[in-house]
Amino acid sequence: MVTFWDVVERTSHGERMKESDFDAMLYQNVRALIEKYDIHFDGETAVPSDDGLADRAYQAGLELFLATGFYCTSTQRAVRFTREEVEEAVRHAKKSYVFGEGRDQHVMGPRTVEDPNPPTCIFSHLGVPVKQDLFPKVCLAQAQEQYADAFCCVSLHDTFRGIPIKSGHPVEVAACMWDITKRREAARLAGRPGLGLYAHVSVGESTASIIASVHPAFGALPRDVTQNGVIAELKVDYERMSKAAFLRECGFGNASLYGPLMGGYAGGPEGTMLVQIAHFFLGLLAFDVEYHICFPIDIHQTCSTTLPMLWLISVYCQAIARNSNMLNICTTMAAGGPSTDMLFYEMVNGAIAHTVSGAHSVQGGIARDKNPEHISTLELRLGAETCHAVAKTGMTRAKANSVVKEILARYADDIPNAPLGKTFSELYDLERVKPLDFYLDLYRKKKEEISKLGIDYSAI
Amino acid sequence: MTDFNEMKDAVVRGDSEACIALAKKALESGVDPLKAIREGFAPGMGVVGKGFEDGSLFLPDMMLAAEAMKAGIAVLEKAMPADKAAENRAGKVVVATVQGDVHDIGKNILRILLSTAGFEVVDLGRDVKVATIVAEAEDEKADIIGVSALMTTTMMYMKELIEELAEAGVRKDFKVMVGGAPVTEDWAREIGADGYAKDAFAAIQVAKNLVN
Repeated sequence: MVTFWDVVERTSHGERMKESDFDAMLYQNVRALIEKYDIHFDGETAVPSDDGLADRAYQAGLELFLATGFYCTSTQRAVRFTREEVEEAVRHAKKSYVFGEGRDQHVMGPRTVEDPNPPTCIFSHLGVPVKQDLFPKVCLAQAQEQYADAFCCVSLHDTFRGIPIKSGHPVEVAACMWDITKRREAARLAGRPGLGLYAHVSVGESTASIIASVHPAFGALPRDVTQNGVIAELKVDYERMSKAAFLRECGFGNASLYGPLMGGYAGGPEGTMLVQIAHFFLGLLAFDVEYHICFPIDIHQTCSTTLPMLWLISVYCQAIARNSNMLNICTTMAAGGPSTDMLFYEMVNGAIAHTVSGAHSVQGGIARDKNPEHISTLELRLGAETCHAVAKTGMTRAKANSVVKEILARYADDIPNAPLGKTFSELYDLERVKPLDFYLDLYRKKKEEISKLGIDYSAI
Repeated sequence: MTDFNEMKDAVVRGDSEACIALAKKALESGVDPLKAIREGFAPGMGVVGKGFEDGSLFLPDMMLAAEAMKAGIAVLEKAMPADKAAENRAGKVVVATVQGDVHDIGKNILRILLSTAGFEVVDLGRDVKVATIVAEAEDEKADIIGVSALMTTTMMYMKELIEELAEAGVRKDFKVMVGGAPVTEDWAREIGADGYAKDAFAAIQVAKNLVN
């Protein structure tokens, strides 16, 4: 079996090529495979009930990875594998992951399409900038959400000790150590001291900061997770492989993060879907990961809740679920902001698509993941409740498709100019860290509205 | 006789060889090179740009088209007097993804759109130190510095860039544009940037406004 260190060696011996040539080769391979495997988005379906399509997508994604490999920017080489090597890595992929510890422990296992077992639901706002003074309260707001099987929280964006937090700067290391202590403290204050972290720090990009922050002195639990993000598309560098070198031996959680851009190097929804699948093999081989976190994004709308995006998410999730035991967590990246109808709709649609398609679910990016303090939890709560209801009531893909499309019609036209919504401070009692009454009323109203579309929340 | 539609179509197809051949043919036919660019090649890029915006074409299609157009323009510019060539230039832009950040798709899209809008673009790549950006902008005598970032921890280097330009006494020599996933208009204003755009397409007009 190919080991991590075999792969590291291959980065020095693979085919030398310019990065732009790798990008061009990827696109050519994607286009050829779309035709070869007859993979086409019909322009109408959000959640396909087509096992043949899902299986062809998996084979096409595998063949894409075999033909293209991944690119190491540090050595400017393409690294490739045989089919046997990739399939062996998939066979030996981890089939479960345990978040957290003690009574708050949660086991994430493989899922199937239309699985009656609810997905693991993770609450995350990673990417939304928040200042230091609000950071602990936001962490607590997330940690106390009972449907959060693991959590992550926001991105610290501020000064630390009076110095702006910058990647590669000593302050990044210090900020990471502070960051993890506050998240762990939030879990404890929420009465869930063993609640797992799905991305254990928000400000750590450098390997030094990641290694510093997992030291037990700062509270990280042994199975808290670091996400190792690839470079778009299908690229790594030695900084990322260095993180993997540490994570695979220290026992700390090791996951990879892929966000292919629809409209970018992978092309349209079909190509982006194949590239999303291909990334799973990269994660296994180049990073030796335990699970995979996906957040494909529309390059123009900076969200994943448009019709083509929902289609590509559903198909890739079905492909992975039907053809492997790899652990797949998909993230909803919403355009709408907190306390808007739109965000509730987007979170529900993402939840439905993930759940029936065999994935686990991150209730995640809000307001395009960039607007300071635009964080909420009640929309995420409804998303997680939807995951549970959809699974437990045995919703089929066909039913999911009709519900998703009906909900989509309520927000699709607003995507380009999505409402920003309110900030955390406007939605929460900051003393008690509880949602304000008007916000709770809105949540109840939206839940009631959506239940009439065929989601039975009484089942959970 | 020069068919401007043929030139446009060659750009749309991303056919560099055809663009070169058509450029030569245009010159042989006595067509004004600037006219050939503006009425032949540029409309092709307009078609591709529109296709990218509406989702019918993708980044690789734009890259191919831009390369083809660039190849054709290179032939035409050789036949233009220097002042005429300058007339075709909207300005000079140094672009980079900031220090600590290796994500560059947005910057690459911007580079393509700027160059096809008539800007001369110097692409410094990704993970570029602030000091390097300042030095290169000075060497190139750029009009605009365009920087992008994908992470909250790297967008801080945009602020550092502006501070360093001021410290070097050259802040007024450059217009600074910022963009990228975590960047907002408020952030751009907060750090004293001259321009912000939510995407590469909007950035073109911002760039044009800055040089005018």
